[in-house]
This record gives sequence, C-alpha cells and structure tokens, in this order.
Amino acid sequence: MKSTGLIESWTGNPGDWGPLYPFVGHEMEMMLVCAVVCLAFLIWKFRDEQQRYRSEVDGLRSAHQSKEEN
Amino acid sequence: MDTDLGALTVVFTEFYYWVTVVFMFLIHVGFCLYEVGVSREKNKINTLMKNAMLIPVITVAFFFFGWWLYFSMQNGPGVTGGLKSAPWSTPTSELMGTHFGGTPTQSTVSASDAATWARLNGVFWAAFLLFSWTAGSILSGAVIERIRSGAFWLLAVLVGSVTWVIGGAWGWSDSGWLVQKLGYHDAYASGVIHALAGGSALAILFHLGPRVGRFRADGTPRVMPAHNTWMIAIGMFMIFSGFWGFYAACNVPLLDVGGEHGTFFSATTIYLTPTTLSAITVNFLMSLAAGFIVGYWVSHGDAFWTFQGGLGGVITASAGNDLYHPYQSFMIAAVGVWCAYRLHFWVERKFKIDDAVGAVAIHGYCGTLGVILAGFLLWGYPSSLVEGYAPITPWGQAIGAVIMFFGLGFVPCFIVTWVLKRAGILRIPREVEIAGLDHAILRQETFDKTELEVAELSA
Repeated sequence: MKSTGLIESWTGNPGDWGPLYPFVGHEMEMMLVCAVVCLAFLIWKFRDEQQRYRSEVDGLRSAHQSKEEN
Repeated sequence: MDTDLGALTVVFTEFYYWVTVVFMFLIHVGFCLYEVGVSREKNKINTLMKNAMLIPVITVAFFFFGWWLYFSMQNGPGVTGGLKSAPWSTPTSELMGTHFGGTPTQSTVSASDAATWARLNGVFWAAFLLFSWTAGSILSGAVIERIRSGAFWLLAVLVGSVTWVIGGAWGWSDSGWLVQKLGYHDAYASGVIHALAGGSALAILFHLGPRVGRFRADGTPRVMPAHNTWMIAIGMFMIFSGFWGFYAACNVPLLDVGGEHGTFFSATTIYLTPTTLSAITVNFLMSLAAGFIVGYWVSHGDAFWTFQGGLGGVITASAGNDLYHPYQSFMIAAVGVWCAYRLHFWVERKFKIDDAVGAVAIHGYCGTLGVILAGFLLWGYPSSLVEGYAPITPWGQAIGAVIMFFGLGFVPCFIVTWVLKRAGILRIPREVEIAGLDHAILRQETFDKTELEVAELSA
C-alpha cells in the first residue's frame, strides 16, 4: 500500500531517511491553514471583547440607574 | 550520528535541551500563580486567562516567524552583512518537522543543514520559545487588572516573537553584530530578555495608565492588597525552579573548545565561550541569596519585595554569571536590587506609573544595570572564540543595554500601544474595571447557585 509519506518500510538505512511526516511537499498549504485559524482567533477575540464590554457597561449603567431611582 | 561519540553528543544535547524545556515550563506556571495571587479577588479569572493564553499565541507566532528572525537578523541586517540564510528555521522548512537527517527534499535545504539540524532544531526552537513566553509573562504582570486580553496578546507577540528575538540575534548569538562590533556579553540574558521586556512594560504602562484608585488626589499611591500571598510565594519559588532550566538552556552542553590544541569538551555559553555548569550554579545561588537579603532589608521584611529581590538579584548578575566569582555575583546582585527598589518607588511617585508587580524594576532596571556592570567587571575579556571580534568593554555593554531597554524594548511597544489606545482597544472600560473583570462570570455563577439552591429545596 502506498503511504501518505516518503517512508514505506522501516528496514532501510536510517541515515538516508529525510522527512518522516506525511504529506511532504504540502508545508505551505498546511502553514496557511494554521495561519488563518490563528488570525481568525485574534480577530474574533478583539470583536468579542468590544461587544462584551459594551454590553457589560450598558448593564452596569442601567443597574446603577435603577439603584438611584429606588 | 555515524560514530559512537557523534551519536552520543547529538542525543545527549537533544535530551539536555528537552529537560531544560520541561524545567522552564515551571516559570510560566509560577508567573500564572504569582499574577493571580497579586490580583484582587474580582479580577483573578481574567488575570489567569490573559497570561495562560499567551502560551498558544506566542507559540504559533514564534513558529511562523520568530525562529527565522533569530537566525536571519544576526547581521542587523546592514551592519555586518545582509539577511542570513537559515533554511532550517523557516515555517515551511522540512527540518521543522520529524526528520532523520537524510536526503532533504527541499532545494533550499542542504545535506549538511539536514544532518546538523534534524534532531536539534525542535529542542532548540522549544528552548527559545520558552524564553519568549517568559518575555511575554514579564509584561503580563505589570499590566494586570486593566488591559484588554486581545491587546495584551498582540503586544506579547511583538515582544515574545519579534523584538526579543531580534535582541537575541544581535546580542545573544555566536555571531550577532553586537557581539562582533561591541563585544556585547550577556550570557544569561540580563539584557536581551529582562531589560528588553522591562523597557517594553514601561512603554505599555505609560499609555495604559494606573488602575482606578491606585493614586490618591495628592498623587500618593494606595496599596492594592494581593488576594493570595501563598500563591505569590509558591509562584515565585516555581519561577526560581524554572530559572535553573533557563540557565541550563542558555548553555551549549557539550562542545569541543580545544581548537588547534586538541580535543577538549566543555559546556559553553551561547557565544561558544567556555564555562561550567558548576560555576553558573554557584553564581545563581549567590546572586539569589544577595537579592533575597537586600530585598528583605530595603523593604523591612515585605514578602513581595523579598521574593522579587531574589529574582532581581539573579537577573542583575546573569549577564556575567558564566565568568564571575561567587562574591562578585553576590555584590552585583545586591547593588542591582537596591537600585531597582529605590528606582521603582521614585518612578511610581514621579510619573504615576502603576507597575502592579514591579516588573519594570526587577526585570528592566536590574537587567540593564547587570549588562552595564558586566562591562566593568569583564573589561577586556574576549567576547568570542573568533579572533577579531571586539572584546567586552563598559561602553560596548552600555550601548547594548540602551539598545535592549530603549531601542528594542521601549520604542516598539510605545508605538504599538499608542496605536491600540487610539483604536480604543487597549484598556478595559472604567465601569467594568470598578465592578471587576470577572464581574459577568461571577454574576452568572451567583445566579446559577441561587437557582440551584431553590431547585434543591423544592425537589
């Protein structure tokens, strides 16, 4: 059976073995996927914080207001 | 790997750095405990998550570009040459993955690169990465209880995966331009990590401002009591434990330094100059002892400053702890902690800088002073095995210290923090800060708890 990597048998000369991981030659694509995930996470974090703090401030202000009214 | 000695050297070196990485992980555990302990009850979850999440954020950034920056920037570029080629360190290099050192498949990677880096690339990368986390964590403590996590992580990436790495390339590598031209010597990173991160923290604090209520109307500071002293103490002990790993990771464990005089194996510094694990262990302990004593003395037994003093002592002596006599380590550490303590309170009063954990003092001032003092004590020592590099001098060290604290520390963070502030994403809103950063979580928990109690009673 053909493997996803360059290794098809562990009985060869280990000194000749180069990369052992699968999908050799696709490093750029893999890097791009990881980079997109990380960037998306940071963008989500900035948006989430902005939204969350806005709603918390609104909640705290209205709680303060109703306390004053009572 | 084709001779017994060659294989033993490579496998031992691989294992050695792996162990240092595990030890250094304790630094981060310690920083988390310590920061959460220092924070107030109402902010502890936010404080924990802000620091803990710098681990993944810096890790991926360091994988993408940090490791490459370390090798490629050693000439400046533009001082002693151009960008250096380092095909083993690029984020798409086959040598960043599992590799046995045989025939490379990428045209940019040579057979010699593959043979040299296949087994060591990953553990070297990880050791440097743990330094990066430390740099990020140093900032983290200073800015607790009012910075937004997103903004902090961006700044942590800037320091942890860009500026300290460039500082390391220039002054903490065997062929950095600062070493070549100025004889810069900073064996255990007083300048390239601590001064640089301290300068960065100061710049961030300048724009961030103090916590609400930190200063009275007349400008005098209020004490903001830590919520858990035991967490601080355990955290600091863990940082000290991890610091052993840091010291070991700064060495190359086994290298032939005999040159034309025959084989002579020794541990070396990052500059490949000889030292011994024995010497640096004694010096570490003597500087720790001096820091503790002076910290306790100047603060009249304050637990926080005593522990911080121990850390500051080690940081001050670190630049030259590969060569100092233990008494010298002791005295340098004592001077550093005394100066840092005095400077901390002077800066706090004068400029209303609210450094929650004294990070600027302990890392920034101690690190800077340590680099400068090493120039006097090691004046004239060769900075490298390579003939023709500048020797260690007070002026070379002073210029290096200024580059680390201001050039690579203060200035980049000052600019980026200013941008974040202008964009309105730097600081947590005042109302939320007063209510507590964990306010929403705690409110929900209280609500759920009450509801659960009612449900249990009616069941």
